Amino acid sequence: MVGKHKIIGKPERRVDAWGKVTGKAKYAEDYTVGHQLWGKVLRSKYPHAKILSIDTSKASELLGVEAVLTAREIPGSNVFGIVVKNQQILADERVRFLGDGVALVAAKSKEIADHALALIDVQYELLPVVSDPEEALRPGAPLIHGDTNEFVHHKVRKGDVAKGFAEADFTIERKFKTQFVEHAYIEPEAVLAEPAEQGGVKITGSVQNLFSSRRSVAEALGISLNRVQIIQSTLGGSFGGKDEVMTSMCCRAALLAGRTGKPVKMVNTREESMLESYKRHPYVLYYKWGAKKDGTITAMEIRVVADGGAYASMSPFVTWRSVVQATGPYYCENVKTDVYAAYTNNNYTGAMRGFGSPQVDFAIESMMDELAEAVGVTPLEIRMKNGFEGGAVTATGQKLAHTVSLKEVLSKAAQELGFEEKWRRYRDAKAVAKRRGVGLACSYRGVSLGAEGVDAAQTTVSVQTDGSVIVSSGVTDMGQGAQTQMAQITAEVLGISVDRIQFLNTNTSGVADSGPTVASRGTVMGGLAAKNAAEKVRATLLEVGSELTGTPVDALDLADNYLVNERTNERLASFGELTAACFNKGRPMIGLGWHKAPRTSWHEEEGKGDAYFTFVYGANAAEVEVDTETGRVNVIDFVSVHDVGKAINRAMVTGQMCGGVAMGLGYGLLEEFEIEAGIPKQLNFDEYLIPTSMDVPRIKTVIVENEDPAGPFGAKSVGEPTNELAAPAIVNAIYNATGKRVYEIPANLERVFLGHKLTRHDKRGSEQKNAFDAVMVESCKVRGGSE
Amino acid sequence: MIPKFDYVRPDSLRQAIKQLAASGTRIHAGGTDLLGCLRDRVFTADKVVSIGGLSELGGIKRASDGGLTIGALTTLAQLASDPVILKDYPALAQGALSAASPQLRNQGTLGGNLCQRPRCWYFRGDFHCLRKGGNLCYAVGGRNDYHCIFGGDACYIVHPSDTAPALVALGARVHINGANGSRTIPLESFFVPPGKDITRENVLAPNEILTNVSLPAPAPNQRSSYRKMRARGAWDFALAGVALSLRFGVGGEVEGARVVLSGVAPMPWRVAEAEKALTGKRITEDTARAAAEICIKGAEPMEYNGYKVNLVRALVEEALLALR
Repeated sequence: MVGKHKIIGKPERRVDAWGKVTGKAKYAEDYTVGHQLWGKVLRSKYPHAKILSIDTSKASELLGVEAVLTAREIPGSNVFGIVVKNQQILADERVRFLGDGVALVAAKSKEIADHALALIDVQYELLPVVSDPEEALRPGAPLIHGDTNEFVHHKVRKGDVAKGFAEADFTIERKFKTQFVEHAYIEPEAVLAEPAEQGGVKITGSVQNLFSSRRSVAEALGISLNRVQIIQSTLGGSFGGKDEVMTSMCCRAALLAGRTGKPVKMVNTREESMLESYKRHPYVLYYKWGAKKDGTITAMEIRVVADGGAYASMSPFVTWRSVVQATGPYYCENVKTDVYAAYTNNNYTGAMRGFGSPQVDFAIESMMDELAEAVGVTPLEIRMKNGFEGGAVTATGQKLAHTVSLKEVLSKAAQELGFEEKWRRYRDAKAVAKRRGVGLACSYRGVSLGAEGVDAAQTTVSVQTDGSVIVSSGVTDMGQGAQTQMAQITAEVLGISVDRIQFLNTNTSGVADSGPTVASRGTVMGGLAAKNAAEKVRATLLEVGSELTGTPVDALDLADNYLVNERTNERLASFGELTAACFNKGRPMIGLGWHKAPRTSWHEEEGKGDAYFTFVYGANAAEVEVDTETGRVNVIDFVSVHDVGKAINRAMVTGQMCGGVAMGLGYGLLEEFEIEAGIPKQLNFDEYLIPTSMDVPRIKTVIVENEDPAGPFGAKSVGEPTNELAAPAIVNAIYNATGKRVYEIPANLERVFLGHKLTRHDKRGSEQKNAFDAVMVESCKVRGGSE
Repeated sequence: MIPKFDYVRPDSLRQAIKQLAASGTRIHAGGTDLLGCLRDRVFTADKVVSIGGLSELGGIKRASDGGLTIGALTTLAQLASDPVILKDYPALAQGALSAASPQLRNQGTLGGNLCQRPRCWYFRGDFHCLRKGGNLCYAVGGRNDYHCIFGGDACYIVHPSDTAPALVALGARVHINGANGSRTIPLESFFVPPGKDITRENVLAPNEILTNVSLPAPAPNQRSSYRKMRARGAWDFALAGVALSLRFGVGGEVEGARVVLSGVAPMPWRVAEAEKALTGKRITEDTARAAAEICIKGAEPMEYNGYKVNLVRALVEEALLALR
């Protein structure tokens, strides 16, 4: 069908665009029903403490309060977690971070609910706080769960690193650090939970992964899955962020609805959202490479410690992607990679667009530039020398069988920016105050879940007697455009225009469990399921058309909303006439599409496996101007190149690329969610700075299309790869401009100016630190007391 | 959620001042800072007195002496686009334009901008700090990235206003009305350093209202500017800034100078020594550099805000050279 697509590849208008720009789209908070109560959470006063007692009597007596719940009143399971079940809906004996919930209130108004929270008396016994993941792994550190804070150790082993280092002419050894960042979705968490007519509960909410949230709600209420219906409202962004925090909110609202028999709405304020929600993992990365004078990498030894925060959440999966991709798309025969995750009393860390790759990409691509300098070649040359080509075997021993387009994307990015010429010119420029620099970064990224878990999805296509079509899927739309791409695929297969399609928001009771919509798997998994469903409908319609017209099936086609004779181009019936005939003949009007991903494998002990069924390749090139007198970095030009297999919708792919760069720029230059002794410093966007339109340069986007049979019409991932390369490209550009390398992001003014954090007291004594921690804890008491 | 309070909207200044007599009252003009503070419980209010209806507090008028009188209710957006201010007092227009976002500038007033509370994250957060009547400044041992490098004394806030440094550089005076009559003082003496009183940032008594700001007539050959460095390109407070007002003689030499720093001290920070050093000289790379060096003399950076020293030096030099 190559070359004759009518819908695929076109910048079709998004199916959700009209509702969003006219204000008709309904976000979770927009749902209001009669007798609705407001639910509120009392959160912990301390980052780490034992709960001695909870007295809810005064709150319960308050007029307008309909329920006050603690962990004790949960009829089913209080714990949830996708990998490790250790997160509580309400803390029972211990709080492990400031965002932990301790009690719930349902009241007739928000004001009454707030008042009731203040009347709940919780007595705590303080426990020591650990806020640094490396400290958390040392003996004697305060324990968060069980008898060790180390809850993940992934490894990759290939060849023999000792031999590799022995063969090396030189080694490069560096330490990198990355920060907590907030997803910063524009819509904070919100749900409405209503008691269902036949028992159970119906939840409408801003939920990313409906099926995992549903499982936890069912377990919390102690009822079967079919009694819990979760309907996704239109989402105001998620970026991986509306998983566990929404599971927790769904459970809480459902519990309150169950207790009161009334609908309960819960909406987080921005401050509550930032306090409670999980973040991107901060990593400490130790990279050691051995190389020959010609730039051949003989060994890579990598150790990474991730701050998992208070709960396991997605850490085991996030860090697994890190361990698989930690060496980058580069040949190396001897690899030893160890990735650990540690519990701390910080916000727990989980899924966020990129999912363990932005951290390692920052380290890998910085290392690659250092290697280029050591060898005396350009950043482009060193990558072209070491970069993967077709048939390459990765660090995990996987042979790449698809089109490996790394060098294609790299060359295009470099060429589009004029990288080579500028890089030399800027390197040799005289030292003036305002200096320019260019930087390059590239990556390969596994598509979909890979060996993380079961990877299958359902999409349903149902035709109506008037020729309109309803599509629904277990793959959810959180603003990334999943509905539109599935609508386009359906329209392409059925030969109809996209405006004939109505897309239903995902409803857990209407579609099969399709796993989480994560890992940039929406287009591949949901898209292939949509294609599968539409093809079933198409086959039926062509049979009906053949019966109707006497034309053989193989001479028929569906095009431009008509049944046509493919040979004569004669229009034989309108699509509506055809679907009506299908109905009248009693033939199935519905196609159930299912797609299961190809096989992947992983041997945890050996640290080897065919991790992902295919990969995508991307390259970014940045040009910056650095004011060396202030450390201010302006990104003035940017090129983003991604091989997406096939762009289902070019406008949406471009949108993903620009959005990914903007978010990556924030990661590289501005954003840092600072936690001090377990207490977050920024709870709103006046202090947590995300980029504005004044900070984002014009972005040139180049879409590369090497169609991959693993995806629909050759399409693969785009959402996450676009977000993992801006930070290293910018940091490399800063080096080109200033000759100073930043090893810790964000590359804010002081790090760029000095190359390190400024400290007046070189060594802050541990006594002073302890004194400060005590002060922070004291302040918590005051904060509790003042409420 | 904002705790409950009484709300009154008097229709005369006299009435407003009367309303302020009760304790626990707060003035509401644009509300952009007040509502955030109430919501975050930085302070409380039993009664909020809206002065939004007082027409005598609005408007930009030419004064008889050729100067300008600006009502306290003038919005930042008006200041940023007023043709007279743009022509005669560009530092003020630039200061107003560099503050906040378009929405906030449409709502925020000049009086409110001068009287806004500090942005220290401990002060704004749930910390019972010195300024809130506690007995500790958390910034000393904590994260002090955005705190002051000049004029700190037990408390290390910076004054967040972008219009204040510009107005001080331009020689503004403020008019204050209260139960005990009215007074007019130089804007410079409006601000209170922490060493003097740690619980307030200005001299306003609880029953006083800042009614308007007046600017002297611009001298011929007067040039002014406000330059601000922030972490991102818009909607951000100053990490450091400098307001300049320079009067040039016929030969191009500086006859009079005002150099006022922002974002680095608990109040707009005038550097008299730099002003003296510039006077009588032409602005060259050397004199600009020398003045910039003077500006950072005596800076006392804390653990995490040493970068501000560099910012000040670079900003002052750049701003001076741009005005020559």
